[in-house]
Amino acid sequence: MSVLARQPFSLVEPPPPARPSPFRPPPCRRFQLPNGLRVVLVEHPATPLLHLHCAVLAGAQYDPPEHEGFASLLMPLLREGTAGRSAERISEETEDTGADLITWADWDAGSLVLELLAEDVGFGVELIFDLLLSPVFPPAAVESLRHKQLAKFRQRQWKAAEIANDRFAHAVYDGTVYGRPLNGSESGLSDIDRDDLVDFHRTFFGFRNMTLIGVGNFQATTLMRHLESALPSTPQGRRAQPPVIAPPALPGKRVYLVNSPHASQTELRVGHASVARNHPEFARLQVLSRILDRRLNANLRERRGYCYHVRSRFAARGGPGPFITAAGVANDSVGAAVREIECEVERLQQEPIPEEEISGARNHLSGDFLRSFQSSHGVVAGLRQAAVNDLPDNHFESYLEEIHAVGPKPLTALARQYLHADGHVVVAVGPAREIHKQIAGAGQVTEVDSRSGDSGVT
Amino acid sequence: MQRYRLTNGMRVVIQPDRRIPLVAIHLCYLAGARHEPRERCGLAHLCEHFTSVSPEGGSQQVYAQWIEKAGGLANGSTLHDQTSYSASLPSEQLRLGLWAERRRITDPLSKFTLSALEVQRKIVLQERCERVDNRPYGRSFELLQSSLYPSGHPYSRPPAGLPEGIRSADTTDVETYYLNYYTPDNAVLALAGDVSPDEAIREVERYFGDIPAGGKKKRPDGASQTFKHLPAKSERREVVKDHVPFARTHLSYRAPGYKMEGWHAASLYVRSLGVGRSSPLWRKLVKERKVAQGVQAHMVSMREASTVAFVATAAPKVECQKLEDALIEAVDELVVEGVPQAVVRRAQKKALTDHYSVMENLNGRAEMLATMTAYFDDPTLLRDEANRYSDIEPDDLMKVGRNLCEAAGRVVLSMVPHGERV
Repeated sequence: MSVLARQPFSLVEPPPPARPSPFRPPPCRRFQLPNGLRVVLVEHPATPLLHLHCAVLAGAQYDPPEHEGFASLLMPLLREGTAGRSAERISEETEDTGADLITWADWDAGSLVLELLAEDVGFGVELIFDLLLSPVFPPAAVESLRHKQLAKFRQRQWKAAEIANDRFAHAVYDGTVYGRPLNGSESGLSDIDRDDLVDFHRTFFGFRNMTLIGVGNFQATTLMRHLESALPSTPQGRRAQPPVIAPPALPGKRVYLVNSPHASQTELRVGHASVARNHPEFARLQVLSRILDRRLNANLRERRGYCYHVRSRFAARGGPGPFITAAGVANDSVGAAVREIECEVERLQQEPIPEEEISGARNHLSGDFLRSFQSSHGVVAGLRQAAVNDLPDNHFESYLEEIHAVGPKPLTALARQYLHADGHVVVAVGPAREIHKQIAGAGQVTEVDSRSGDSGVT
Repeated sequence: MQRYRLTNGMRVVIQPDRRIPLVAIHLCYLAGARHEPRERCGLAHLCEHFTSVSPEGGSQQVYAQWIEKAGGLANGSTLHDQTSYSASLPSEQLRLGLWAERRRITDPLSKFTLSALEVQRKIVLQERCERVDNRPYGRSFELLQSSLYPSGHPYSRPPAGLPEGIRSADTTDVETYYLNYYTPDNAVLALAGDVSPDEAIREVERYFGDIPAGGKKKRPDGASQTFKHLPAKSERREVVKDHVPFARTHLSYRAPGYKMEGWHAASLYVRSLGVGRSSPLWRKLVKERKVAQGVQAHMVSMREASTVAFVATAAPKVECQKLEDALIEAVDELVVEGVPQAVVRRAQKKALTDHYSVMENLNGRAEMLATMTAYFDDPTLLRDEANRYSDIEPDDLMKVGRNLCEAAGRVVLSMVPHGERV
């Protein structure tokens, strides 16, 4: 190409932004069918794909008390056969269309997800509701999947990050639903039978307890027509009322060590219970955790080289989710890393936060928000969170307004009210021989085994 | 899609998509692990990290900070054949993204402190721990590569680096590597998103147009020689005891390089055999013989070769040898039997939806555009991507399977728990 006239620029000062282009989230069309099913549709014609996602308020918080891991077992069983389709036929029909069929459960809801070409919309709607409404839970499949879940449980015992997460949850939420392993334990999974699954399905899988989210290259009217022709109009089920989850009061700092003698790195978790997703301060707390996250990266990673990643966040859940900092730390730096995490938390509470940092955090969160709209995956994730947490219809807009409105003084006040370094739970999974002495400075160390589903405290 | 070449040799490709005010920037240098001196395995990765700090920031990763403060997200990655830096930013910050990359390519590394390098070295070592050493089966891909490619071949070494190589690289090594490879004539810049091509190329010209070309740099590329003399394949079997809960067997083969002649057919064959719960391998090993709790098929592609791996994890109480025998037998049977037409059609459709999923995301699209330009000097090849799979006839796959899955060329790697009899 020919050389264009080059405009001068400074290598020292970053260039200013151009005039921002306006952005409005794509319109969501919301419906409720006579049968009680809530429907949220976003036309998103980026590629010829369609993303159908049905969230059922039947997450792990509704697990029967003696059956931890129930929701995580039930959701994949939906694809193991219906009144009209065998498991094999479900797999074949799905894969014939090039679709991905995914099932999973978190604390709030179970999800059944179908990603397919938009031209197959009719098939997608029919399949997704066949699986949701008519599963037969074949006894052989129940048994086979239970063994698979148990195998997964065994695999988790070898993953330091998973052990750290489970142990942290157990310590912070002891005695509550959130203290149990989401994917179950040997004892919780061992005696679930088909009748339990049928009863649970009858209770929770009614239209009134479901939200269907559709995002992709389709016309809302076409999708609604498919829904109306595929589904009965009779109301079904009732909306589930989530249990009240009250984490135990903070009894001061507690330190747990899981010995992993061969680990080349220590998985560290530091934090405590915090607020629910629908808490009025949740959006502003995201600004606070973004600032802390950036400071921890600057300090632990870039100044000291203790770790490759460190992340701090308030988890979004229907009940009071954790505030947690997670990092994989060099074995010789674990004690120092815990001290630095605590120092950074205290600094947020004691020193005014410079406006430049706040504006950087706001911009970053706004950018994340924007990025979530580039793919149907991102849009669905935001809509699911809103659906299962009963967020208002304008939550996309209000989220942005709230993060842009918060200033330095309210953020310091939030840090004082919602961060509690003196009540931290610290979990370290690494070689005890190397790290025990280091973390002893953080508090009385209790050595525990890797299985949070078991009671073994050594 | 618009393409340009600056006078200094930098190639630029721009694809506007104005649905949302976001732009993805992907700058790749043809500089990866294959270009490292053999005894400095990890140098390219260390250089990727080191070029993310800046003289005024000490050891701080100022590039990521500039981008993030402006609402962006930045990342770097080192592969065998390339090192790339990507960012997605609100489109009004396009200039900032280009300015930051301009700084990266012209900030003299000689001004950086030794202590900054030491910090980055620690981070790279921790990254290796996190991704490889401290994860069950985390070393499997490294072990496969070192068996599939002869000792000394660049693809036999991991791009993440080996601890001894990462520890031994000094500032002179990093600077030499940087000066040799981080030049505009060795780079491709792709922009995808809310940009006007005319305005964007003006900004690209402003920030990169005055950088001198690399000239006749001495760019050792042992790979080009080595590939010409890649020894004939020979079967290898290896059993490694590790901290893992179940035995896992990897049956691995070499395949054509990324999007090269035969790549799409090989990719389709691999998908047909082992992707999904209705795949023939899943049916044979999980449902019928019940020796595996799961089977996967992977194809990891480098520029001049790909690594295909069929991976089976033993069902509880199934011993490694039984799993290994069953996996080899199943693949051999399928090579002889051929793959049913319906299975191939299914894989073709899945390849299509996977392709659209990548292209939906601006970062994914920018990366594809940059890679196609870097390897083939033709990003428009992406337009035909969907047809490249659908044009393959199921009958043709018989031959593909026979060539790909030759027993003589396979590597069988099993990882077994300590204490299990092998």
